[in-house]
Amino acid sequence: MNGTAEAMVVPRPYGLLAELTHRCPLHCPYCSNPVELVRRETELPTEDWVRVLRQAAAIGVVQVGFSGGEPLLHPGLGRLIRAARAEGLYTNLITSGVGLTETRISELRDDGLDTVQISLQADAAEMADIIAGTPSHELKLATARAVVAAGFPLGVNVVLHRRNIDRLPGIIAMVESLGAMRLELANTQFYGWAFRNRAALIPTREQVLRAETVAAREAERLRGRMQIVYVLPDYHERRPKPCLHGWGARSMTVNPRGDVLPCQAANAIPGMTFENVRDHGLEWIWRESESFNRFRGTGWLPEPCRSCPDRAVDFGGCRCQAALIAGDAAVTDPVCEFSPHRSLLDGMLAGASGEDDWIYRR
Amino acid sequence: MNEISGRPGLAPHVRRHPDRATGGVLLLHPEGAIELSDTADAIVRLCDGNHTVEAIVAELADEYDAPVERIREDVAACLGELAKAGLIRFA
Repeated sequence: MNGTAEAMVVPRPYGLLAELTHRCPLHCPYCSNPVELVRRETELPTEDWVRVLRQAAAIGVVQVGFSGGEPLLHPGLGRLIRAARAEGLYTNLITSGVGLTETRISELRDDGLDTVQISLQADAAEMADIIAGTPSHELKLATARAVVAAGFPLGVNVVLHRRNIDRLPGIIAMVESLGAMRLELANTQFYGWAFRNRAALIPTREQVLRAETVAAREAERLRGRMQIVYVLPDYHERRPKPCLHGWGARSMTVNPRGDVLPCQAANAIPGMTFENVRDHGLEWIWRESESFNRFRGTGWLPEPCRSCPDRAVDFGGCRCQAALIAGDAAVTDPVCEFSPHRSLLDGMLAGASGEDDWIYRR
Repeated sequence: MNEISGRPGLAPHVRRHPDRATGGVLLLHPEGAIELSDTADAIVRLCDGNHTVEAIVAELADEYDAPVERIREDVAACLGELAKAGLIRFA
């Protein structure tokens, strides 16, 4: 506890990201999961997940995303969706689409699943399959169509990077033709495995500027038909993102082992330990645990954030990024133009040449 | 496109949710949740695809014993916002 008045008021959480497994049929170089994955043997059993869902609903959570890895690989998925719906939770399946057969789609609908989000890698198989590291694009498209045909609102997520960002017009047209309700164009966030591959993934400034223009124009054209959400490439920004709207403010992640994280990537912060749902209830972890209170509110902020008028806008940015780039989670996000570490990030941008090849996650 | 007429109903992916944490009401949708004021909730509860906008106005004016003109303004503003967010549709 850092003893400031701001930290004393613990907000209620709205969202839970349930990472059921790290196992995944794809090998994407931009994977933001940790370099060291949770192994199958140590995955949380279904009964424990059911308890987590009940505890989450009891402290205010209203949305749960079943994610991974590939959540379809967890044997308890159907039961978990039913348990979540029994608690009134809104349920979203965040999937590669691989393994989502028509039979499975109708089972999940019967379980009460609300929405499906499928990832796509590019606008055509020749590129998408290279990015995913496995032939999967045509199958994913067929799956997306089946999801829409089954009456689900479909969301599509495309992670953008140097190799696919110039294909934005084709990507948007493809997703439009699927009848998706929402398209998230997410510039790669450099955490976990993706951080290793940053030199091969970071887009050029020219690419970023072109993509922003296309995304804005297309969002306008599709208004009322398909929502386009464009997630900025924050390395190219001058101010940090308001990461998760603050640490321990609105949402939490439970990883496949049952560790409760304020942010998906928080496990990578050296020196921090996170509580596990096998040892503690979610309410205590959310409200009282040291890990959730460490960066909660704005009372912990260092300079230059402490005296910055934007401290309540961006909360000092992302803790994991500060740890990864500056080597200290408790300093200003190096994206910020006022960060003393900004030059480290500029060095990474300058050093990303496109000559680099990526390493697949296998 | 967002004309406030016809019979409003919640979009298929939207759910009205009594909020345990506050005792209030939320509208849940794929990207999040929005909190409804008591007035907004009174309107949303009548967005069942059967009531026309005018029927909603009449019913609320009756229930709250308030001038129809004022209720009509409230209903139009509320439905306009929800429609813009894609949370209701007009049949």
